[in-house]
Amino acid sequence: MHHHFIDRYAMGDSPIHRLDARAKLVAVLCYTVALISFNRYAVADLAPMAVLPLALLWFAGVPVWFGLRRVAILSPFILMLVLMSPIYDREPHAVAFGPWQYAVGGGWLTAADIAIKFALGVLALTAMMCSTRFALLLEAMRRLGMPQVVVLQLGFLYRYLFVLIDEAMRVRRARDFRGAVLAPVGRRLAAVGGVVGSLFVRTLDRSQRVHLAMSARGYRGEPHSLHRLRFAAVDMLFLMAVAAYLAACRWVYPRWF
Amino acid sequence: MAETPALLQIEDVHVRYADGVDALARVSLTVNPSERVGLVGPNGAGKTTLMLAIMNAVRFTGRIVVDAVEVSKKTEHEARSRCGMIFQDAEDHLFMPTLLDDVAFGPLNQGCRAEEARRRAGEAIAQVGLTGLEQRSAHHMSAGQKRAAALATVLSMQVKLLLLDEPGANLDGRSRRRLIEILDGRTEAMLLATHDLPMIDRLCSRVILLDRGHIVADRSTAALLADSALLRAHGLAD
Repeated sequence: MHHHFIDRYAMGDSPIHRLDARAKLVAVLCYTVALISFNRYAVADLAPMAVLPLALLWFAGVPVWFGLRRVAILSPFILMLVLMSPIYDREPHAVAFGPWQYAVGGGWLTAADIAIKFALGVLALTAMMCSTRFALLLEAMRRLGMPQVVVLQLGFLYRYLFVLIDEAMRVRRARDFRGAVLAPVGRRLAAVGGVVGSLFVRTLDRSQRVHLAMSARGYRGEPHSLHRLRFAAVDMLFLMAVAAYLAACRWVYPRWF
Repeated sequence: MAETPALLQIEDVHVRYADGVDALARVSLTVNPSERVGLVGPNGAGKTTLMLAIMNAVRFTGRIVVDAVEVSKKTEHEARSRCGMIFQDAEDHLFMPTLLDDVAFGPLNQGCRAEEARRRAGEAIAQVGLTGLEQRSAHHMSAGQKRAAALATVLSMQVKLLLLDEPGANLDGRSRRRLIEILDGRTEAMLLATHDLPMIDRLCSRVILLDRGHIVADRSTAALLADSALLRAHGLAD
């Protein structure tokens, strides 16, 4: 597994890539807040919210299928919520579709609302990740006041997540090659415990070695960065355009349509 | 004529781990400026522990002086800015999102401005032959490239002493040869811990044989490698 899962296309060069990382981060944060502020039964009002992530993907040269694949890969995280909603909320709600009116169970509307908001949120994040180098994103977070320890943790997560996944795959393979799949369930569960324990110990050991490597290169807890961010007029213009778009989606579109 | 002072002086250094095992027992040695010294011995001989003691990463008794700085809790940052250690697993060494960030990490911590750190990092990356990979993550590098990248992270700090722990481990023949060529072109003093005797033969003028925390022999490379009985006795030859 590779970092391409997270930030493929991030090294590209497009108008979106050239925007300041802080502008993109603030825009995506505002977008997410606006997205979750919609009433859960007003699913149709979400339609214009799809424009921003799709436009960002388009202008950044990231294929839409790439974003949709990420949505599909991450969808198990909300699957239970979506599936349970129709069971818990059965109160009918009137839904208008042009001149037609339907009565739909509130749970179905909630399920659609969760799925659409999740998909749009992941698409917006994908657009940001695929148009911004991770190091710049970390620097943007630091400049926007995120605590240094959180930024550092995110950097480590990015760097070592796939190392850990590779290690887990190797340990699992070693277990399977010794016939774990043929073992009774009890022994298999014990083997899973062993794998998790082994990964935990390895991770702890690695964290100590990384800390040593950092100390050996003079790290004393103060943040230093090579990256210089420049917030230009075009970034301000981008943020203003996003703000106007979000205001229109949130307050103008639902009243007019 | 005045004698050049040793770059590294180790006197009566003793390391005992929490389980009571003596990892190093009254070890004394010196390394002169630009001298390349091999450190050989079986697994568990204390090679890595000796390097960790020099970096003040394990508790020790005795005296270690790096470039006139006596290693202690107070002076460890000063001492560490004079010597760079490269670990067995290069993965531990490369913790930043990109190669450039990783190589500039040391100079930035030494107080260099961003432009100077970038310049030094660029030079170090070029010296190990990784130009063009500056924005690449370590996860997308081969084992040989990771090893070279780890070396660049300490070269950019412009240290005087390189502590190399098994630098050739897990490398294929071509990557190993490339690494030897890079190391052979360096002028810094080196303490090179390895089981790779041909690498020692190629790079070092002097070899120290450690076993169970004791220095068993400290000779010229040619003399030590010719003593097959000694090598066999300490598990270094069949």
